Amino acid sequence: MPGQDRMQKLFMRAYEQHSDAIFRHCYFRISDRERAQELMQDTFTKTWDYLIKGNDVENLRAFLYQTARNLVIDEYRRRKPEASLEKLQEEKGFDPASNDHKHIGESFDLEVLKEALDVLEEEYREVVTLRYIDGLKPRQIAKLLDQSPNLVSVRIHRGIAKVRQHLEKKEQDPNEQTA
Amino acid sequence: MNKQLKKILKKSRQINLTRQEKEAGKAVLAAHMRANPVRENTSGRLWILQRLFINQYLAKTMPIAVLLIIALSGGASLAAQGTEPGDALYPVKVSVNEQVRGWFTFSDEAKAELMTDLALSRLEEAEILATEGKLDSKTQAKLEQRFAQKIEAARSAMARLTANGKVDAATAITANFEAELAAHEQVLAHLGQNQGNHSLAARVSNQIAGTAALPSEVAMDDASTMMVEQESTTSGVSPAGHVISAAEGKIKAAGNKIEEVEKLLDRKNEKLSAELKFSVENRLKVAKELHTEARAQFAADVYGEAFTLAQEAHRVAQEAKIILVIQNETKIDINLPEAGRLPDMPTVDGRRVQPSPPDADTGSGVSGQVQGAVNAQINL
Repeated sequence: MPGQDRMQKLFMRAYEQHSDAIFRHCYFRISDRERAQELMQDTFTKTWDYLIKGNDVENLRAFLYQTARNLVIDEYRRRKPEASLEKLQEEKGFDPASNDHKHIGESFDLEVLKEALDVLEEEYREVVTLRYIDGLKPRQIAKLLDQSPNLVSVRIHRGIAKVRQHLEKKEQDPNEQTA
Repeated sequence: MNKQLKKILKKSRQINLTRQEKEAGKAVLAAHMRANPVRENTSGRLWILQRLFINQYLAKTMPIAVLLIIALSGGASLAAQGTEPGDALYPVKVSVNEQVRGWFTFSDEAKAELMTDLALSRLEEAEILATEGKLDSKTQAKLEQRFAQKIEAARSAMARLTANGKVDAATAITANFEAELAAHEQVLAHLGQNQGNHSLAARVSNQIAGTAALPSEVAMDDASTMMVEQESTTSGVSPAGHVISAAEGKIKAAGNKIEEVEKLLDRKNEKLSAELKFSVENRLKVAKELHTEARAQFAADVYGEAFTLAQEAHRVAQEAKIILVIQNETKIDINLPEAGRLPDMPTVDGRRVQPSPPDADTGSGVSGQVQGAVNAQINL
């Protein structure tokens, strides 16, 4: 059906526009590039499934983030409790910048950031990712998480302070292992 | 935040899928979409969907002027606007179409107007679905939620307006919103009674009651000023300009509404039953009489009364519009009780409760009165 084809093209545009951002979000939440890609993909297929049933989506971008968030939560639940960045690094080899980053310096910086995010409690990691990696405003995050803007702002503030603290420590002693 | 952290965070945003990864993802998504086609047949209306999607994605890259042309060209918004919850295109209406409207809305005044307008659209949808007997509790809850969201957005815009000293604009939006809200309440209450579903009007009205404080906060301030100034008028001091402009604005808004409904009636005239036509014409007649009286009072410098009458004219004309819209969407006539004039309006403790300038003897403002009216109508 020609209408179906056109709809596919249009949804593909949505994919073009938001897939990087959703992938990035998943990536900084679960520390696993390959899995982040799969979660991003699932985010789009689930959104398509939801839309074609005639369901109600007020804001496509917010809906995609919400779906990705749910998938990340499921992912946490599925993972063994002892799953950690270190283990993932051991198992898969941690490659935050993959082959799309040209400079070793960039790769190192991002590795440090990932490490800092990884030691954050989930309540901080989520809001810091949404705020600084995804570029969402605190009120948008509050809406997404169904929390008060004040609480979100406090968590962002505390979370980023912890990240900074981690980076400072790292700067003083690059070999220090994070707990 | 220190420099180093800023730099790292900036870099983090450069993490993207590689071109190969993206292409592979697109292939997987395309296969999924083919395997899971659109379930509802939207036939000729699908093209609208694509245009709306295009509008959304072009918005970020195209100059506003070009986007405006796209958004305003053709019947895209018209068709999507005509959808209700449950229709295949309804998600497009609320997720794309209404957002496109939002993109062109920059001033707080326009934002407040848009948000109150969208809030009222949710009530209109509830009315249409209720008339067709399709308003289930899930849909109703969604509409209530959306109504509350729009009200909340309007509240923020109103707060900024008043903070910036634009009380006149806020008052005008408030008054228009209240007039139309009152008309919707009347219709919802009637639909609830007819279908034995009292909870329909009660629940939506409850939502209204909970949020009616929004515009009234502004109106109350203004009403208090008006009260003082009305008293001043009687003691020979001229009322302040904004009291006059409030009454003038209200008269103009009511006039516009009457004109809008007249045009609508003209367009739909041939398709209406004699009873429905009578009901609409009667309302228009009452609205025009009220409007004429309002202008007379204004000419006589009785601005408070002029405001009240114009507000009533607006409400009655809006009722006529709702009747026409419901008929147009559902092909079902709703028979509201005859249009009420001021003496027939709901009363609380024997007092008139429609939006009106404050009574100097009690010092009560518009807000309390409107709230009272809402509460009175909930008890079906």
